[in-house]
Amino acid sequence: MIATNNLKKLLYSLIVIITALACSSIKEIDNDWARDRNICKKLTGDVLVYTIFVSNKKLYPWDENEMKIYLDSVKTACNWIESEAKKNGISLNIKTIKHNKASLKGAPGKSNESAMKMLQSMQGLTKVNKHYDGISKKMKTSVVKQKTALKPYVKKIKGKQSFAAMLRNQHQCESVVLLFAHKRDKGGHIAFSLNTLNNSDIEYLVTSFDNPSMISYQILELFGAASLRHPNNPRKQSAIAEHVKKHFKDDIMANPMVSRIEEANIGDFTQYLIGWKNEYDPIHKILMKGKRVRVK
Amino acid sequence: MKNTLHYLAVILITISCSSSKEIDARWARNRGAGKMLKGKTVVYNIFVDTKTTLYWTGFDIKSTKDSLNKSAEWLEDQAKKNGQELDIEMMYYGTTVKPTFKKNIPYKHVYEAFSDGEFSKESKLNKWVTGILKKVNKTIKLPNGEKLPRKPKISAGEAIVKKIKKLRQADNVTINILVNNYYISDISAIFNAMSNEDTEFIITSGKNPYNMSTLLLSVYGAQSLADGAYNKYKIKNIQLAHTDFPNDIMVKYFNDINQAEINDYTAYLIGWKENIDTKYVDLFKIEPKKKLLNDSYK
Repeated sequence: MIATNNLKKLLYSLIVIITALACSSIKEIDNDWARDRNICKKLTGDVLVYTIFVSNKKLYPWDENEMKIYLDSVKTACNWIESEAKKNGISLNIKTIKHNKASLKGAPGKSNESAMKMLQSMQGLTKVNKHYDGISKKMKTSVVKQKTALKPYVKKIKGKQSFAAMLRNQHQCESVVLLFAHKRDKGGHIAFSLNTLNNSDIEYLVTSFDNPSMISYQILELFGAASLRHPNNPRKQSAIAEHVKKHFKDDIMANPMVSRIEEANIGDFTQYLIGWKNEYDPIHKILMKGKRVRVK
Repeated sequence: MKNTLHYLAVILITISCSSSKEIDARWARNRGAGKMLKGKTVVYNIFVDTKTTLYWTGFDIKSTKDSLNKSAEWLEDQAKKNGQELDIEMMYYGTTVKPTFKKNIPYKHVYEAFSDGEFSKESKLNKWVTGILKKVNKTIKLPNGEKLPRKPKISAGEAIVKKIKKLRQADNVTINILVNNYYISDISAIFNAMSNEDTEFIITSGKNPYNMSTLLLSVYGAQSLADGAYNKYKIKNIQLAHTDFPNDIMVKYFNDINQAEINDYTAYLIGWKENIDTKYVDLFKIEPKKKLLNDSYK
């Protein structure tokens, strides 16, 4: 009887796994794909970084002082990106704004750890996207209206994309970075930039890190920059690591946890991906290939 | 290169026949509502809200208008350089209170209509536009209650063109249907450019001045000289165009439109030059591809 039950369980688990595999697949996409796409196209002109603080109802609430300190880090990150742009002759003006009310919806899956686990499956990804749609939807009533908004306004906020459309209209800027700031919990940190390699939903970033280098790294990711730290193609991992070490040792995309952001820079390859340069040296082609993403 | 192809993807000239016979690109020269890109030219823009594309906000409309003006300025400047007189006026459907037209599009994305080369799908999109134009036509009034003659019966597109020609004393009128895709990459397309049966129009999905300029040029007969998967046509000796006209706007994508030019071949097709060197005769021979877009666009 016990053996039959176990067999049933095994068969049930197999069906679940097979269904999950049939619904999603892994596709290799060039890093070039993310260039000049989605809501954060080129990192030039006017950019809005809009921070929404997210906490649990009981655990880890944000207090005013913590939010202020966190926003200072966001500002430091943005100032550094602006100064890098200036060095490279790029006109860039980043406006940082905090949403005046924190969300109490917490992390997807109720903890940072389970949120990070959810990203490993297509079904989980959809849930994560819906979670932040839900947060955006609730934020509408507490948005500080700007006089600069032009008619027609966004009437209904259905999720992140209409919320971002409203912010674009209110602040009259092309690129909006939606930053959902969490606090570190028992399960550790949370950090991801979603939808940078697809067109089906708006790209945004979620983070619990408060160091300016990591915030800059994630902002750049939204504008198309590729991580030079964890090349996720094992076949090329060592070659990529060697190449990065040789050419982009101090690039922020290779050192997101650098203690002093002033010691980092934005290298040629990253500059190409974020739209500051029209071409990149073909010797860096190795860095372009092999990004593996889960697709429906 | 990939980025270049991505942008060239937005230039599609849709023909109203599904055969794959060889066509002569000169056929589109001096035909349709957009004959020669000279004189007073009106672009009639209609911002359309649909359920599947994103709703137009004030910012989207304003920034798209900025891009349209930039494109018009560039075209006028190129005309001047080629010794032609060109005055482009951007005209818009609707009012400041209600600047958009609402009609649900039959597809989630415009590219879906072209993904498998099925003409019936393209035709469905054509019908969607016809529905819009029928209603828009009723909103355009001629002064003093003047009306267009009842016979011969003309399509709504033709009626709009005739009315605007009268209203603005224009030589040419182009209808441009715009859908909002602020974070989605979709294609833009030209319909009826190679047909005499109906008025040509554009469906624009983005707000890049480069794309807008190439689309307008295509309406007036210019031919895409892009090499690769995204050109709807196979061109016999395309390399010749790349060698002789490397900076022509129809050859490749330009990040900054001010770096692009209109060279002899394109100038001939849009009516700015009377003759063209016989060595370019192979460039006129174009053949429609059966399957246009691959999955990489999704």
